[in-house]
Amino acid sequence: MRSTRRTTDVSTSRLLEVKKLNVHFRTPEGELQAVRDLSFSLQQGETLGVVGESGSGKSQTMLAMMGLLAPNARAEGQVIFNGDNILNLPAAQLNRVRGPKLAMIFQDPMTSLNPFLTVERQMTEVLQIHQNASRGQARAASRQMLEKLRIADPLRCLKSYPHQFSGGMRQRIMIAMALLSQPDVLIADEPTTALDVTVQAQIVALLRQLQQDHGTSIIMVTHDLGLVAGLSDQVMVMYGGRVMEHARADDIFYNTHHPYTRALLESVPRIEQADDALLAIPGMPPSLRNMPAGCPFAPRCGRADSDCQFPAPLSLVTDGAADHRVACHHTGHPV
Amino acid sequence: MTSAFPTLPVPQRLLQVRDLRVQYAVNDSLGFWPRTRQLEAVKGIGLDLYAGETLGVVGESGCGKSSLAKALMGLIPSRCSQLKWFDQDLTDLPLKRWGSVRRDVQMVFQDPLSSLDPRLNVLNIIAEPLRTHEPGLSAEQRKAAVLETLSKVGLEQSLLYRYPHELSGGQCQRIGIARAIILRPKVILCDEPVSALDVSIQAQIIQLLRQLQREMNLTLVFISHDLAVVKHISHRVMVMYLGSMMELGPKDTLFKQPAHPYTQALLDAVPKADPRKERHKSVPLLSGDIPSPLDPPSGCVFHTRCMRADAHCAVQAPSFQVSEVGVFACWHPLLRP
Repeated sequence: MRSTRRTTDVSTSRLLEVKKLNVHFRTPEGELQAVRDLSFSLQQGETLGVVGESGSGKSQTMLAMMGLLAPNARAEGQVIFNGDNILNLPAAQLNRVRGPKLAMIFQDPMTSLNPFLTVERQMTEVLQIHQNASRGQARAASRQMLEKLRIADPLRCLKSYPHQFSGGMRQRIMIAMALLSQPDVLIADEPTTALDVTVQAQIVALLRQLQQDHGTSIIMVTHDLGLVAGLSDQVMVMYGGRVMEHARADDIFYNTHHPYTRALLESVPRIEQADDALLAIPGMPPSLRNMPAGCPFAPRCGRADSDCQFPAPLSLVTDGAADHRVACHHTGHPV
Repeated sequence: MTSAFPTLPVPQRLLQVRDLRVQYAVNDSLGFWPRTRQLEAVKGIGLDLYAGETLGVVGESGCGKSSLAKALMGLIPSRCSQLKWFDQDLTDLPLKRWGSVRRDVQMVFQDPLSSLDPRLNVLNIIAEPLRTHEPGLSAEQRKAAVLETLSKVGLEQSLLYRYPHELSGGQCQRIGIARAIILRPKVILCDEPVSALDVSIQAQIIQLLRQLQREMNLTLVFISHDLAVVKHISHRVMVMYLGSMMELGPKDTLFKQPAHPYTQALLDAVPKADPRKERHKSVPLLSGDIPSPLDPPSGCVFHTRCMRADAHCAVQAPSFQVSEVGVFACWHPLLRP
């Protein structure tokens, strides 16, 4: 039974499939839901961009997929990777998947590197644990990876501590560490938010190159639509723990259906636009404690009416690509 | 709304600063013996500020944009050959004797939450400048002024007795702005005012600043690392790198036809929300990181990362070339058609 499922997965080359993922938090004020009914699938070599503001549930989705949720959190649904549901795996088995197969880069490279250990110790650990490499092999592999990421003087880098590097260098070390075991899927949670644009461009070029060389699938979590535009094959827009729109990147940008996606595109100042019109979205994103019962964007939406008291199901659009999904009651036509 | 200052007939000059330098003493001890070195965060910047305009300041982190703002505010000591705010010569005046300039120049800070005193409520935070500069006001008068300012920045009166931790980032930043405008200043220096905010809130704060500028005839200095935001709000833009000014010009010229290779590199690095173009983008990237300001490169500070640099750039720093559309410092500027 399990083997047949695995073969079908390979034939459609679906590397990762998330079905109806829900994340709840137990808090003193009762149970809060951070992610609702999230589903997507990712093929080999594909990049998924996940866009959303703070509190949209994008980071919690990624942590759930890595089995890294906080102790008071509970994930339901399925995250199928190589035929196994990761959410139900015991810790020992999970550790054989995350790290070697599913790797994650975190937002803040300073707080996610251990300040007490040298870069070498932190990098070689990955290979020594997961691939039983000797210290010498692990060091050689680490050095090669640093060279690939165009870090000048990799030997000196290995002997240094995280605080001796700039933010861009630290982020590159994080990426090198994540790529050491050649993962099938790389989850990057706001990998360039803390960095300058010039360094961001370097990191993006690097990710693109690595994807070409190794066929790695990437999940890029960000609030920056520009970053998503250049890298992603498919884009998922999240708001209030729900998926608002999910489509090919071109459809998200050129055939926008959801009012929130449209508002997001119009409210971000863009360098290529001569036009000075900037349409701010009134109000602020809902907090988990008082999430609207219906569509979470309804209180800020110009098109909201009485229908929006009920949540809109994520359904296929009538006049677009076959895989263009949108959760809105008013999307007969592109906004 | 005029866009560029050269077209204005006689713009009123509010600030005139020449050769501004900011130095910090940093600890460089090796072993037992104490040793300090001088880090020059701002190296000889000269600029003018005109009434009603918005001057954008962009650059990578560590380029000295915040130090520049603090020096102009008189928050940190600096040296210069000339500093004039509103025709008051402050060149060699100690910071304590800046007098009315303190009232007329206010600042909005980057981190909306940590720039507000957690032990004061909204009323006391916004009223604090009044207590300092208008001690004669009664409590009722102060409260009335605070209420008026609150409505100006689009906040409800019900927030009056709340504390900062009860508010969202956008609300905190509005309070920071309210505190800055309550004295009706002439100039506001905004140091990365929207960087810590969510994208949908960013647009609200930018619109608020523009609206206040129109209503109160404010002059803004807008510091940011986000070029798109700066382009959106500014009339003129200054590009800084390692404490030096690289280029200064009207927004339209600077963003369409930059003269300095660094400006061009910054512009190229910004990702655009347009998948078809962005996917096939192949621009030469700036390599490496910004050099340490403790050990700046010789000659032109940008030569170590510049595509157009040659041997001469490493030897001698370029002087400013002034044209009708701004100034720039480069030996090999990009040609303007």
